[in-house]
Amino acid sequence: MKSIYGLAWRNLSANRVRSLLSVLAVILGVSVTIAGSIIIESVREGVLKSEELRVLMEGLIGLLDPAMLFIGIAVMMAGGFLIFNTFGMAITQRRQQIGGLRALGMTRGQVMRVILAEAALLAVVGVVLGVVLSGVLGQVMVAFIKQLAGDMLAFGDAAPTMPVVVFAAVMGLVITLFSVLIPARRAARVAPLDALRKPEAAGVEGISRWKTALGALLLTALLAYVIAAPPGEWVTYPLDFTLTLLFVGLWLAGVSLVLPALISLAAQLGKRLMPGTIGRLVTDNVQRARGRTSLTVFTLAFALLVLIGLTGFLKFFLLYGIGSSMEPAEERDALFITRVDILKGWGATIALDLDSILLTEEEHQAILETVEGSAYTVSSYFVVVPEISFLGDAYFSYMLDPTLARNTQSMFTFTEGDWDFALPIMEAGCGVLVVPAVAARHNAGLGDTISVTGRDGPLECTIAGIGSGVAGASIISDTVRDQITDMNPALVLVVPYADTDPVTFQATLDALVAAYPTLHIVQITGFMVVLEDSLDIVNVSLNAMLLLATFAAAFGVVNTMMMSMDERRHEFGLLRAIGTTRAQMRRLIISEAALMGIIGGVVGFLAGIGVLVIIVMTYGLNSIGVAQNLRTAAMASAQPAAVMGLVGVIVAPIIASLAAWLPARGILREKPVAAIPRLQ
Amino acid sequence: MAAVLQAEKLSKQYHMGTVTVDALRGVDFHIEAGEFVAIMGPSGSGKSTLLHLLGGLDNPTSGDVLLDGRRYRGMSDDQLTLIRRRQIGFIFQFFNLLPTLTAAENVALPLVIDGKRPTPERVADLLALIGLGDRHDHRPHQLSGGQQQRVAIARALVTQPKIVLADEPTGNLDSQSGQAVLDLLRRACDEHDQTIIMVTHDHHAAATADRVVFLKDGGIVNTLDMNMTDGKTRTQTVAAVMADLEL
Repeated sequence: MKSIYGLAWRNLSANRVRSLLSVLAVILGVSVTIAGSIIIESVREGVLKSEELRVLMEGLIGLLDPAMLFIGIAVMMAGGFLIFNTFGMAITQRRQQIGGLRALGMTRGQVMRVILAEAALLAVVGVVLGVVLSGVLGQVMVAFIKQLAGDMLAFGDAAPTMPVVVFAAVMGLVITLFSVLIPARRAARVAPLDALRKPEAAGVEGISRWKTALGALLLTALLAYVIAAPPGEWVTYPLDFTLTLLFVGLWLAGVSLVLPALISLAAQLGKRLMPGTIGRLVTDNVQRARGRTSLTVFTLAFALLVLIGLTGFLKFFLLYGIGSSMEPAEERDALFITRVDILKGWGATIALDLDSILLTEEEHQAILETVEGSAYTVSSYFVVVPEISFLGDAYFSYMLDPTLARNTQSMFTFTEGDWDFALPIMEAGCGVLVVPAVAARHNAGLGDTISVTGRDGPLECTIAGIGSGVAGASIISDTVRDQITDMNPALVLVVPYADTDPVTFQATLDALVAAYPTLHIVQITGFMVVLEDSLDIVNVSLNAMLLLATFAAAFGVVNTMMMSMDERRHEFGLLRAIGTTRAQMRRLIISEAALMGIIGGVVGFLAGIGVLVIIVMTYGLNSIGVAQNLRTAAMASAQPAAVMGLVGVIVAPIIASLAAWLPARGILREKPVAAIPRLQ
Repeated sequence: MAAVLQAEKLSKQYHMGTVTVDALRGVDFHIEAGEFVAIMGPSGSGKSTLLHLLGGLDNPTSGDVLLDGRRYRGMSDDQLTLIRRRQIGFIFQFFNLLPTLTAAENVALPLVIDGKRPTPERVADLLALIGLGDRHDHRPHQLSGGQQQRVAIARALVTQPKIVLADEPTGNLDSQSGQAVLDLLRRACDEHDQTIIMVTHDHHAAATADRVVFLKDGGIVNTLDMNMTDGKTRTQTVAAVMADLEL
């Protein structure tokens, strides 16, 4: 050993399992993030055969990017909790050793650098392996989603993007180092005198009443406030996101403050349900070393909370937000005519080139002539105008004839302005109908002018209306069509007149399709079903990825149990010496882990539902101009999330029990005498 | 001879809830270079506290410690750490060897902490000196208690410190291993002119020293010059004083 950093390596290799768990946590975080990128790129590759189409669809597919990154970060955070816990416990156990080093002349700075070097070593190994293994994980996930989706989605072969790989690697390093910062500071504060004290196993610790009261107050006040007066009803972009983030942060802080008390409560209940000595020991043990038990339970709860929160929020945003923007069209029995047989799934149809998707001039004219006199029509051109894109700068917008769009009464719902105000502007020049988030981004209001990117340079457009467009898309008037696009329309929206006979109308449409077999009639109601099915697939896929966060949490349980076993070796020796059988010992250890799993599951379930309610009530849908009864939406979004959560409540104790199996085996193999303290 | 280490009106109070315990009450005390001093006293007499304060491991409530005329009071944590690193060697009752390091690496550790490259010869010489030349690559769990304590002594000596502080170095050892440890400390004092301060409960161990300082209730109550004892054996002399103290 040539420098103090050699100690870091020795410490890691002396605690192989502990180090392995930490590395696994980093690997999980990094590989899930990169695998997410592989999945998205596979979708891009599979769905988008032409460059023009790629540009058009980028906005939709790009929605997956932040979702996947979020999952990667969530998994890495669960890993971070584990690493924090691992190092925190290791510092506690090495207190005497660190005190010895301080007595020998190691400065606080040197102690801190050794601990950070340990973390850096773990992080580098984890990041490298994470990057290497992400390819396998990505392919496994793509195969899983393929199996799930059938023809609904198409995949190509793809590699992750370099920015995501770099992001994942940096995130792995930063979160790992950040996680050990507090334990390292604690280590640096260890006094040399600690070298002279014998380490003692933790006893049952009390709870800080004021922290519990503060947490309970925070949770109650937050929930009561968002339910009684949902900020989502008035908050606008960009405050909606900031406020939601703040409230979620406060909610998590509240949960962490009340957690020790909840663990005690669960222990008290457990004591009644598990009578006898073993029950007593189990329930007492989860109340020892409260910090690490709480953090382990919190990691389990966090994994479940993210699962519930993401499932619920996707349901809320896509169905109640984007989906509800299609309600006016649905109510008017609208349909659209397109070359894409979308009802058969995205994969089977979009895996084409752009020419096979856009209507030919002949088809376009045939559609308009066929339905003339029976329905309102509006030809929809898909364009990407970054300045009016509602999510990022690549989401598509519609280019429409404003008068026809008004006639359908299906394309836009105003929150500011109306068609009477909008039409003169849109017919006279470049007028746009945008969602509130777009207007706020430009700090512009009704009647204000914004500059957008045209084919031949910047174009001045007036905001003719603010509200909600179909699928969140903005609308730009076709008076400036030549300056924006040279493509044909992708579909014609058809809204039958109120007095049109449905049977005759259907026959007309059938005749059209017979004459032009490349055309397909898509009812909005049918499209909604496809949308919901696609959403379910995306949701299940994301949840499958999030399950990996639960693995990281399970590693945390293994780690906590191992530390606890190690610390209580003498206790176990004593229990064995006075006649506790191996089976009883096994029951004790597994029950402790299961109890932690149950508490983590229940807390995660309740906190997850709470976080979902907070997100829905605070974020609202104002940014896309959709007015919804948020309480109803929250209730409805919580239902599928609750099902997911209940599965988690059942699965968490099983995972925790399995996780305890490994450390239990080691301790039970020993003879009682090996664990009894001896004179050194 | 000049005092290498000096305690000036050294006091230490511990607060345990509402109760204040006076562990040391204004102790004045000095140790000359190359002296081997044993500190004895009944449990709770303040001997370990005195050792901790002399080693800069803890801060006094009042009074001060001077090492080579330099006062501890006012020194930063890093300054005190450097003093411990370069001028003081510690030997603990529970050895405090790093379980992940070999015997040789444990011995070399203080030099490594100081950013120096320990020469293998120096480490090998020290291991040979303590009779563990053949245990170079053994880890602590592969050594007996006595062997571990000898490694701890070698570790304390590797930086050639002026002062070696030993807290009950034989407390966890059998009599044979204990004697070997005491012999090593004696040799460090006689052959290398190092100052040894040892806290002990063991009369026989204390009798190895040049001077025995007796503490009771936080104050020095007696001092024995072991070179001036007459009639009785050194161990009997120490035992007699201790018996009086424990009455």
